[in-house]
Amino acid sequence: MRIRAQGFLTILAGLCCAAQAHAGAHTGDSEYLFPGMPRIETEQLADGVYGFRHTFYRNVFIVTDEGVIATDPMNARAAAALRKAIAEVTDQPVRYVAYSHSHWDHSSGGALFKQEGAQFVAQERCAANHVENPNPDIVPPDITYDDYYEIELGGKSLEMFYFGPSHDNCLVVMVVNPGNFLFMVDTANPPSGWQMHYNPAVSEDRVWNMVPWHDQVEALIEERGIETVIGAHMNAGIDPETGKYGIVRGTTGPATVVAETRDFWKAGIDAVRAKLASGTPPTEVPDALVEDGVLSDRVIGYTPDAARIWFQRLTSYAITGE
Amino acid sequence: MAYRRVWLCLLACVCAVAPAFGQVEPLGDGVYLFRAGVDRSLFVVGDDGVIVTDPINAEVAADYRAAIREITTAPVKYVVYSHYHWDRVSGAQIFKAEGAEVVTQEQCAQRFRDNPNPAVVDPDITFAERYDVSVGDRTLELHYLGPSHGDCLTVFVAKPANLLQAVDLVNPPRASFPADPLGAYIRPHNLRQFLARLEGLVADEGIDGVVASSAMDDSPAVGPPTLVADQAQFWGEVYEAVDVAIEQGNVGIDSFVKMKTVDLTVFEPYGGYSEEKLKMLMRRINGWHDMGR
Repeated sequence: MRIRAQGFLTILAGLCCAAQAHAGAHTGDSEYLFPGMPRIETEQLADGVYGFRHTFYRNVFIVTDEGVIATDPMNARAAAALRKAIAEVTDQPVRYVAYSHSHWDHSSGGALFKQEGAQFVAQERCAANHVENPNPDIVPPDITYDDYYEIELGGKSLEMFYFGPSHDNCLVVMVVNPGNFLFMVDTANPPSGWQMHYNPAVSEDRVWNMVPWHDQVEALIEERGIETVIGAHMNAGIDPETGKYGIVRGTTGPATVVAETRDFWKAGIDAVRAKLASGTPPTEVPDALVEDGVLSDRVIGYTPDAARIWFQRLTSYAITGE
Repeated sequence: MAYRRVWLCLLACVCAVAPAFGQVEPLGDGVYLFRAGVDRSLFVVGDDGVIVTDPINAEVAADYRAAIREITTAPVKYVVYSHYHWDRVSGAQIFKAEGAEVVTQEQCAQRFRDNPNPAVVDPDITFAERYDVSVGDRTLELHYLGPSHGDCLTVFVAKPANLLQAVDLVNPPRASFPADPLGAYIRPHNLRQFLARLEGLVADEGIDGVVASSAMDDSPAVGPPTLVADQAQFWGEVYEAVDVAIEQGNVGIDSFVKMKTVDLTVFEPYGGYSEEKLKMLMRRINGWHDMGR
């Protein structure tokens, strides 16, 4: 299958993400990540709304007449580049920095924004995670919240919604206005929700809540009439513009990526449960599903090894509840 | 691949069909192990009642109840859950029906609310860090030492027997790789601290033995208290190997440690060893370096 044959590109993208995370975002000093792809990129998405990409990671920032709302500083090096990118479009100070979740590869490096007086905002469980497992590179939040928080500034806004555990136990989705964008980190990511995860063991994903969580995000999309998702990672996929497979910016994509991601999880879980219900011993479920080619023609980046690990994880979930 | 074989063993544990009237292993001072297939659950018999731990599932719990009746006519007063994994804590209804109170750490209770399973009986009593349940002059101490295997695993200390059980984490006869080769259940950010506290508990409580929670390969019911330090050493070796790999630039672009650079002889003596399993565990620890979780 075409998708299967293209798996290596997906892996390549994931590998680059991992390399960045592992090396503290030090993926080199070249201006280009690879030919034709700048290392750092700022894209205006709406009036005062920008997507900022540093290597394979992305955040958003909102420029208003009263200051700037920033998100996920990533790490010190990326944050410095972000500060420079903001300065290129406005003289306004950064007033807020909002964390999407607690993972260090997204939430480190915000000290320079703190120094200019920004207030940091995080879901309360993220704050607890940072206390339980401190990292000196992470600025602790000044403002915490439970289910919902809105930053309003200069007639623009960033809303944060917590729908329970998903990827991490405190990840929130953000609605960005103007533009009515949904900014999603490490969950649904354009261009496709049918994407094998970089780590198929999905150790940080709360498998038990992934389908209900995406259902809640879908309900938000419906309620708000959201049409566009901003993804937090540049990834491999089928470029909607060219129809070709490769590394695509994927900054934005249709909000249907959320339903696709929900369906990806549900298809995997349902396949495992069906195999168990058919009497297949749990020990044989992963191999049986791989041998049957289940989802091999549906999942971008499918490889038998990755699928086997993913099905193992889902089988364990079916038995233990975790 | 080798780690798959280990995982198969894990699922063999989980799904083993319990023999009728599972075997009971007396450990002294009113402490017993109920063995069903390759699962073992500890129970404590006192003058006026029984403390049961981890009922496993409804079928096993029925055998479990029958086995207890062979020893005492005292009622089951408490059912204590070791953690929230369904394969250990399902099936307590038979004990609840006779009036037992179900006890669990509060984060386990929260998980049961977040991710309900009708086979799991809701707790009556929850606690944060410490709780004791007693029957007559025998007590089961419940110690929560932070996230380890899942978020709420509780360590049991039976008194006056001075026996300790850390389900799914420390198991005789020797320090071992975890049954889950993917490492999804472990909490790398706190595991070493947990084990250090567990070693402290062994010393402070004068523990005489570590009780098994599984029975793979006819492993013994009780191991020496030094097993805790041995298990801590195992994890220390894994963390250290990852640290060295990072320092020496031996982590691949795929986040896996380049296994050719790892001294495998360090790990070969541990139970359940396989290079593939070590590779997956090291990747999990490397993920903690990246993400903090």
